[in-house]
Amino acid sequence: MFKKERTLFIRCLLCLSLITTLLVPITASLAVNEEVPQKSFFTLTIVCSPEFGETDIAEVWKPELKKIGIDLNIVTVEDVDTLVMENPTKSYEEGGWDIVIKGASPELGHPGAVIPYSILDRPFVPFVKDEDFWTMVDELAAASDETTLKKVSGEALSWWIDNLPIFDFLTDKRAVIFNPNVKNTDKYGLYFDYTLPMETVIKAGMYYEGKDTYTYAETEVWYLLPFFGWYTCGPGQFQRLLWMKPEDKTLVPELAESWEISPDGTVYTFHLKKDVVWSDEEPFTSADCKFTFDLMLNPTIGSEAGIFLRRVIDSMETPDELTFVIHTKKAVPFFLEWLARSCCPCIVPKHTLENIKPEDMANSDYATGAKACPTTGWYVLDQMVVGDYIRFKRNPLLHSSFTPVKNEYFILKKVGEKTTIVSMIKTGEVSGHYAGLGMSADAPALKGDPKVIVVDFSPNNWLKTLHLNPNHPILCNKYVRRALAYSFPANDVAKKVFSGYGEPAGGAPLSPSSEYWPTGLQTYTYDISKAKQMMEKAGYHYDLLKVEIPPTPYLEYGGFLIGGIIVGTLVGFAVARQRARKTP
Amino acid sequence: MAVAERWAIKTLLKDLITDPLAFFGFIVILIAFIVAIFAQIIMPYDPYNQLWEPLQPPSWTNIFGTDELGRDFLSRMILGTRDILFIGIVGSLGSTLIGVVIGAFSAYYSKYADYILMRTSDVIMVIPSFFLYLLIISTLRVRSVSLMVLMFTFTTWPRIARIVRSEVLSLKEREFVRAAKALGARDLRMIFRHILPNCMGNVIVVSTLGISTLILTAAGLDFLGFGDPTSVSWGTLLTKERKFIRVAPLLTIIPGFAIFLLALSFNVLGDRLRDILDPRLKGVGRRKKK
Amino acid sequence: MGLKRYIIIRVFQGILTAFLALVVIFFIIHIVPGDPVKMYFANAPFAKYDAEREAMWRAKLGLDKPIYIQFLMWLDRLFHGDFGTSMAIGGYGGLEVTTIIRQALLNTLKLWAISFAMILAVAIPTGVISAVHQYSKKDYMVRTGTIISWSIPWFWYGIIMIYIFAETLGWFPAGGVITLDPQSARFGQGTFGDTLWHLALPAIVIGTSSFGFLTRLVRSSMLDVLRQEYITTARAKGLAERIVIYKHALRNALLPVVTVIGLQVGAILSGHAITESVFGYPGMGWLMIEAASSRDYPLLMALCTMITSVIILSIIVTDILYAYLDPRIRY
Repeated sequence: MFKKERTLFIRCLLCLSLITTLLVPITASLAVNEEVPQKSFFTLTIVCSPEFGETDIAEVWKPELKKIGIDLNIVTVEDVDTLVMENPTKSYEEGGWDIVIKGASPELGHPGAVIPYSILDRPFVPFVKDEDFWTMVDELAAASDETTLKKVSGEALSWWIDNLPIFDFLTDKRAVIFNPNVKNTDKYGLYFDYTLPMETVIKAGMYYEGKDTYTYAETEVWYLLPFFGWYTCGPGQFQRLLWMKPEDKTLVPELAESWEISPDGTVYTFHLKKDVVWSDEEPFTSADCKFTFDLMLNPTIGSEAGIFLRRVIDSMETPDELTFVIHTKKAVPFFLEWLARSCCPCIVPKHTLENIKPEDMANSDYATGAKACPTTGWYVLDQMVVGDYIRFKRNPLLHSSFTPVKNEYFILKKVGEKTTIVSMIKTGEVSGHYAGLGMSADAPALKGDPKVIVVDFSPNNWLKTLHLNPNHPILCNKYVRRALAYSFPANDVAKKVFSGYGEPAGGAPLSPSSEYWPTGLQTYTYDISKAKQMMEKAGYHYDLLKVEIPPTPYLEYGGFLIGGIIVGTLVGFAVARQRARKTP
Repeated sequence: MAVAERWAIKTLLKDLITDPLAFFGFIVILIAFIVAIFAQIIMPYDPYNQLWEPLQPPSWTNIFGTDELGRDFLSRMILGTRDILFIGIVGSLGSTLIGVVIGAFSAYYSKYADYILMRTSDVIMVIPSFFLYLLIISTLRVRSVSLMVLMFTFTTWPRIARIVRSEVLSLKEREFVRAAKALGARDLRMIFRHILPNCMGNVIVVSTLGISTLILTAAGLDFLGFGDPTSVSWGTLLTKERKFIRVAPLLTIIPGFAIFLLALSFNVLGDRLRDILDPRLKGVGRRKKK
Repeated sequence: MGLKRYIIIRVFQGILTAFLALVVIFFIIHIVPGDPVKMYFANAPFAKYDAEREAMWRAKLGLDKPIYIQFLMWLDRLFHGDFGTSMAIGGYGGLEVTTIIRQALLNTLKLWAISFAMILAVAIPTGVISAVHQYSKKDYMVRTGTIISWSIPWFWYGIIMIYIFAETLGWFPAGGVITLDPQSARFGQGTFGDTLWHLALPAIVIGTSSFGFLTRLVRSSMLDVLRQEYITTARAKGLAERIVIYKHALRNALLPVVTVIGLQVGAILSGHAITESVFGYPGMGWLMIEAASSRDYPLLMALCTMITSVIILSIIVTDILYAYLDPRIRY
């Protein structure tokens, strides 16, 4: 061959081999199937949101489901709630959902998460069509004394576990990390279950020694006015009528000195404390109480508490300045407890907020922090830099019956990165933050570190939930659902994904640590053999499953490379020949 | 073309062998490719199988240790090479192809088409690309590797199109082109055989450098949480392991360092190429040495 | 053609480009399936789903009307200076977008001012040295350094720096703009020193990962200039080498550098999003990420508009400057 043709041929060869080499990782990625393919009964798709370690939960569950013959396909979707809301009954293949993980659902506003209210407030439950279920819900709603309530809720829980439209699998156990200069941290865990950071710090008597400021870092954003919902700095800034001490569950007075309940349980009379003043020196009266509750009852405001209160409250009266009366539609056994624990019914000043139209309330200066709303509580808003921090100052006009706080300032700082928060605690910029349950892996790691204090919580009412689409062609079979529940490795998930900060909740929409948990209730534990039994009952027989040998992929890849070289050689030859013929 | 190009390749190869940095870069890329192609064979264990205790330090069984769910980290890193290379190379390749085609045709053909294409590329270049990625990912519901590649392709072709266009415009008026046209060469043949090869120098440099930019951007998007959490791409690994920096710092250091090495290698390569092709071959349009 | 005509044409082109860019962005946000109001309810932590409020938001955003009418409505509001209210920042939304952007912009500018000072202080002398001693070992080291600087993944770098310097050593704070409580502040709360102390780490991270580009630029520009004839003349005149380099060469070399920096304004404005988010620094980049993750449409549109217009403006200004300085460019 001529020299020119040889160069051409080599060039072609190199080019084609390079292209083939480039193509191989591409095709390999496209054709990838890393898992050992095993014939399975069916495939389910779990839809996770990309945060909070939810895909990790799915990944820990996947091999267990493989053992009982179900393939789990993990998919992340930006906003899971919208997907479910828009396609409530469709399976994933039809554009809906099969299984969904929902983030931790605190039942803070509802003491003990009594079932009817926690059920009805969940967005997924309306898709349950069982008549039995709704009868039970009605019964629960009608229960007017503690005993009946506990008995019926026990029955409802049993039914729930048996029929399992959706299930809750993990109960929260958390830890908090503090800077060593923070004092009185031992009660934190107990108090935090009841309320939010600012109030916990105040009521537990915590303070940062040697500094004027207590800084609390949080990854979420906080809202200023309490009646909207629970994610607010309401408690601590504002006060409730009464409060429940977590150590012994006794009700202690806050803004109400004493109270009475009528014998039939429908009239609640509160006698308010004398000489309580707002931080702008206006007197506190019962008119403020009525105004606050009116706000919560108003649907335009969109208060979370409103959903519950509209079911319960009939009317309210203010016979005189220091008396406030609530009439309920029927006897609600835990109404006082709710008033004492929920973050919403903190009293706000009528004289400041009465002139704002309800639809403008969320945009008002008081809600956005441009102006400080007067309070009766321990801290008043000092400064708010949106998206960055909220600073509160000690209220000098706090009523004498309350213990004042030791730190002059309380700062709620928003920090987006959880790992940065821990760094800040170590350096002292931030006083404390709660870790555990997927929020941070740091609590176990920091246990021996002298620069931080780690306080562990015991299990509380927060739950992590898994929802199964009850209208799914396969999942509508309750034995399949039970099989899924038995296959869930709750302990493994707690250990691996949440660094040990969790306990199996067993499939009921109520934490086993709740006071409404009936004794001796059977729940789901991780048991693969039982899961298999359930699958058999559902009609899936294991002798029909066969294991396939996975193909060896590297033969294809090697083939590509060799093939490319051969083709390159041939083409090079052909082109060289062509050129040779052309040259004169 | 033959002489200049051959000299360029010779110099490149010589550089690659003699210059320590270039050699290092070349070796890294070669290793990355081999690892990506033969990942299935090289992996010691199944990257998705949770066989061990979580967060173990490196040992003889798990050379990089285990991640938080008890999976072998080395296997995950090996498999992740594929994703990273895929995004970088295919993204760059795609944008180069589109850019070259659009740039060449827009320069060669009618003024009208040229104007429209250039306006389009203006619009795309003006929108901050990172912002665009955030927008697209947050408005669409699903996250995947292919989406990222598509996005990168569509935001980076204008740069290449501009380079090609300006080169083609200047070459169009050269004598050899006019001569070929007078001899009756068809348009397409003109572009592909005569003009394009002379522009490729710059284009190759830009697209090689583009690979490393894409790798870094993809890792960055993964890091912010906009990537696919189920994938084993190095960026996702970095994000997931970041929480454990105090327990197992190695798990955070390794993926980041790997990304750094890979981006470095492509950058070195592109840099060398630029040195060779740019100042010394300014007259690369000539067919024969004078 | 005259300079005036060139300016007019460029400005017109710029406006056209801006308009098209806005159309593209608007359509990306609005035409993709995904109801912004539903997403708002899904994302705001306690905005419980409520039919009445959904209707209110729909009317406010004009979602019941077809796309092009929405676009026109939005444009109309824009011309009246109304950038809308954020749907998610600050929690429940309700804050004026302009307020939010103003604060973030200020923060980003502070950060960039310091980073830039650092970068310039390093890049210019290094670039000059590298150009003057081209092909020497120094040049090689500088070139290697710049390539390394280009390739560092900033997020990884930031995390490691925080871990080493803030947490383990305690030299710098781990993030934020100013120290929030007076006692922690080493340099007094809110003072210049305090701000600098907080900005130090992010600035170092941004600086080390960006100085490569500038150094290269200075180097290549210096190389070009040093080849010019007037430099040889200056040398022939017998001027000291130092004067030749700094007084004559550098000044002329800096001009293209400045213009390129001008074109980087867009990049500056979008902030170094990842670095800002790692350090929890509430600047423009951080704002973008927040807006994108909470699907805050008014804020997203406003940010887009702002950044795009600034970029286009900077391009036009640069082009006009070029045309003014170099008459050959006007076509």
